[in-house]
Amino acid sequence: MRGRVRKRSAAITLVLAGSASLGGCGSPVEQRDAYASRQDCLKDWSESSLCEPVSDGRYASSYHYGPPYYASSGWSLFGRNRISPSPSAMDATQLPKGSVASSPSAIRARVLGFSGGGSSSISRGGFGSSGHASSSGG
Amino acid sequence: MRRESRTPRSNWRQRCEEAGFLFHSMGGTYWDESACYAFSADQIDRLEEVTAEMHQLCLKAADEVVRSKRFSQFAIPEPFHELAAQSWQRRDATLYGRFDFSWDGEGEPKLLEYNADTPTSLLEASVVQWQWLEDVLPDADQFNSLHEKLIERLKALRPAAGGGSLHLASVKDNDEDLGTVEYLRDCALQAGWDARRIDIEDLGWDGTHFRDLDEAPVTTLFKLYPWEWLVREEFGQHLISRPAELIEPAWKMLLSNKALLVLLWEMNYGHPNLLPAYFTPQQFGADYVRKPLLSREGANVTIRSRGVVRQQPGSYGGEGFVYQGVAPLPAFEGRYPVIGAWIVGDQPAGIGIREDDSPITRNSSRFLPHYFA
Repeated sequence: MRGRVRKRSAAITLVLAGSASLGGCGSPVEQRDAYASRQDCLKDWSESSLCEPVSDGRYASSYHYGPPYYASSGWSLFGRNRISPSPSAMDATQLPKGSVASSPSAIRARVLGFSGGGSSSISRGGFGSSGHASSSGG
Repeated sequence: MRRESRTPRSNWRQRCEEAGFLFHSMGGTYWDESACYAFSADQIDRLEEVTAEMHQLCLKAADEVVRSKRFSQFAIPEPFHELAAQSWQRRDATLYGRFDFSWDGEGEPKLLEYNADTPTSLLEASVVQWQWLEDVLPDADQFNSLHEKLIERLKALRPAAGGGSLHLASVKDNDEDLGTVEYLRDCALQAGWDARRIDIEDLGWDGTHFRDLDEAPVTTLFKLYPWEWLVREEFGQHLISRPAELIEPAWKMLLSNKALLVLLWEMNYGHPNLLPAYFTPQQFGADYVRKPLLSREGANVTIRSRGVVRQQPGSYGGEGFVYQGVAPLPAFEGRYPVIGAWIVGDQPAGIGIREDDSPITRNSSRFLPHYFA
């Protein structure tokens, strides 16, 4: 090498190598709560357009669903990534990944500044719409 | 500079995956060690010199955009002009960038473009081709000190964060971006950061601060997500109050834009490493390359050369185009390599080579290792 200083790394150490394959990198649980009444739903969501009557037969017709939301941003009191209904609700259902992003009522909730059951004022999903699943790099 | 055929290591997949490089076969073949590129030491020295010089010219160009308020030529929305200007005036810290050159080892490398904001192929260039060299040509050298320079740079960025954590964000469900961000998180951990990954879609806003999924404040954010997308999305308006320091910083909007090519030519007319570039095609004859101001991975690039028109599809171009002189990529056995030259902080840090069967480098272009002797 004619006495030149080498331009290559002398050694490379990685502390995380392969961890990306493990998955579970913080993907949030998505859920929707069921309330025994419209009034209970409004306690959490405050906006009538976010509460819709149950029509899928899973609960009595007097029940109402709130909008889909990220559990891990809502009810930290009950622990992250566990399905726990809001104290105002009777039950909670885990939803498929992507439900929050594609739900019109969840989008309305974000615009109105809600992110889950009313205990948190954190809204999510305000970045990422341009990227979809394509690479953002170049 | 020459292309050498080589026998791939029998365990190349395992070796790649040991390095966290899990997207080695995206699109069929991405990592390709059936060949490599060989350089002379003098050629590598030239690439290093030109990279350092292009970096300095780009800094001067950023200064010129701010001084002359030419933000609109860069399609930067008006509410973000001051953000970019102040970011430059503060010299907000940058981590890295990648210049793409057309060169065959003779004459002068020609700058095709600068990926100043969200360059990828980093893990491949830093770790995977180094590991290949260790296994295959342990006595040879390689222009690649990316790993230690990234760690050094990330260490240097820590004091400004006041002991806060570093969040690293990329889009959901993209293995390439995830691999790139996880590699940078690895470097950040080694640099002493409390480094946490988050999908960009999961970033929260509480009215004052960005929050992660644990509701912890996001105060320093590395985002593998272009500024031009951030500023046009729902949360973009929140960036104006600077609730977090972003890496890359807002002034990189001035460089991660093909309008930079026009400005560089205007400020350095006739420079041997630059190609003529204008906002209109009239200065060229029949031969030129049309590039959208904002695009990635060759999308919507059109090459008109010697009566042949080659066009890449895509969804870019709405903000306008620039027109650049043609510097045909050299052909080695029918393959067209682009040399990606990395800058970390202010230092040239290595190269990576992408090769394609087409003269337009695309997202699917293969990555080949290199060495020099």
